[in-house]
Amino acid sequence: MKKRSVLLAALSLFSFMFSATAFSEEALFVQPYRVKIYARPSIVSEVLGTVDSGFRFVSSGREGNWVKLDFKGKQGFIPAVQAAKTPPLGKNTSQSEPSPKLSVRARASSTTAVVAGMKGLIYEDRARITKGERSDFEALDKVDALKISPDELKVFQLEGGKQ
Amino acid sequence: MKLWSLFLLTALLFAFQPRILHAVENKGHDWRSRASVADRDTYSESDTDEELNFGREIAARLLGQFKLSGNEKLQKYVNLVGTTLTRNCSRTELDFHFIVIESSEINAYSTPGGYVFVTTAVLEKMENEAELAGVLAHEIAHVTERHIVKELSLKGKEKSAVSSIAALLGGASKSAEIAFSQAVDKAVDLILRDGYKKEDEMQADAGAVLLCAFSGYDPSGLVTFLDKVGRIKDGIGKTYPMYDVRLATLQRVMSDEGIAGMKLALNTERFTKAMMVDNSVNPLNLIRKVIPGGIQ
Repeated sequence: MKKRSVLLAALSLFSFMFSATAFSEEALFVQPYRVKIYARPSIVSEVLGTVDSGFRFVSSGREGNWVKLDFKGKQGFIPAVQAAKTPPLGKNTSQSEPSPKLSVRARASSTTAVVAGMKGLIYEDRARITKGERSDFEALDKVDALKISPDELKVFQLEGGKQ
Repeated sequence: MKLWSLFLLTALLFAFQPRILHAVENKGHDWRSRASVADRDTYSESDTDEELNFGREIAARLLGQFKLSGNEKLQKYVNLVGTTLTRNCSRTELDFHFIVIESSEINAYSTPGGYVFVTTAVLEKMENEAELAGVLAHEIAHVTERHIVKELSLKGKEKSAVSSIAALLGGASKSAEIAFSQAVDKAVDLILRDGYKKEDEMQADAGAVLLCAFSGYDPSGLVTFLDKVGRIKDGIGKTYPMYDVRLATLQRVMSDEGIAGMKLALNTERFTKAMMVDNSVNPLNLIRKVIPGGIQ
């Protein structure tokens, strides 16, 4: 009887400790390029500082849609939508590769006519399986070609009153 | 003995309290809890690669149906507004593209991988940059939350959706081609005809106002735009329903997050200037803005 009681007590204590630690702390990574750390769980509160994409921190808990962290000796908050359990993924390169020119000669080639990102499907196949609906990859190439440089963005943001 | 049992029960309740509370919270505010990136499944770079390939195909289809606006200055302007937003979004692995298409339908679309479309008609109904930012942020949220990818998994888990797309793209067989084509068809139908699930729209709205606020845009832009569009009877895209519910949700999110009264950038002047150089916008509509009711 006594043994059983001790066992139950130990189990209870373990459960309590498990509760206090396992659910309150988690390692998270900042996702956007730069994120502000707020003094309270509110966008309008004081900004304690900023951290860059990939910044790893151990969250000490949640408050609504915000995660708590210790930042330079103070308690800070980051929006939960800007943090994740894994580091941010790297940039994808296939997006910037232009589609091949869809000339008749190119279409006949099984290697050059493989449209970027469409592994194994040549343009003829794709045109056939789209059942007459036209896909415009030339227009998509134009879209992909439009790039915004960091300097252009900076000027635009400053003109618009944003830092 | 009874005392010990009670003690044990109390301790177990303590132990699982966060999970129980979390489950209750999820049930009550599904669209809110889903907005937390920290709770999501993880994705690999190859998942993103496949999603992007799939999105490109859908984007090409949309560009086959709608003419790309030839106004390069306007395209650039919309991309600058969109990129300002995506600097603060959670998926830095994507290069978003913002595309103005010529259409009389008041609507905006997005494909997996980050192709966001706005029609010339939707631009004509806007009055400032914050409204444009609100609409773009809503579409960005559909992308960051992978709504189409998840929807195509039908009844599967999030991860299986991406894997199935990868499997479709990886195979060159007839069956793979047909399956891929069908998946693209479904996605195009969802974008142009059927629309997203109610929860997805709510989540995209909630994400949009926050993204606007993080990016320095007045978060009320999406609210004022939806309110305005909700009063229009003709030319509204079928995929923009439930204005009243969405507006109420948006007001609640903004209130809960303490951003309801935030006065951030509207950039009305810059927006008006950008629209004025848009040759593809109907010039009669521009005159109507100056002389309301002057030309019918």
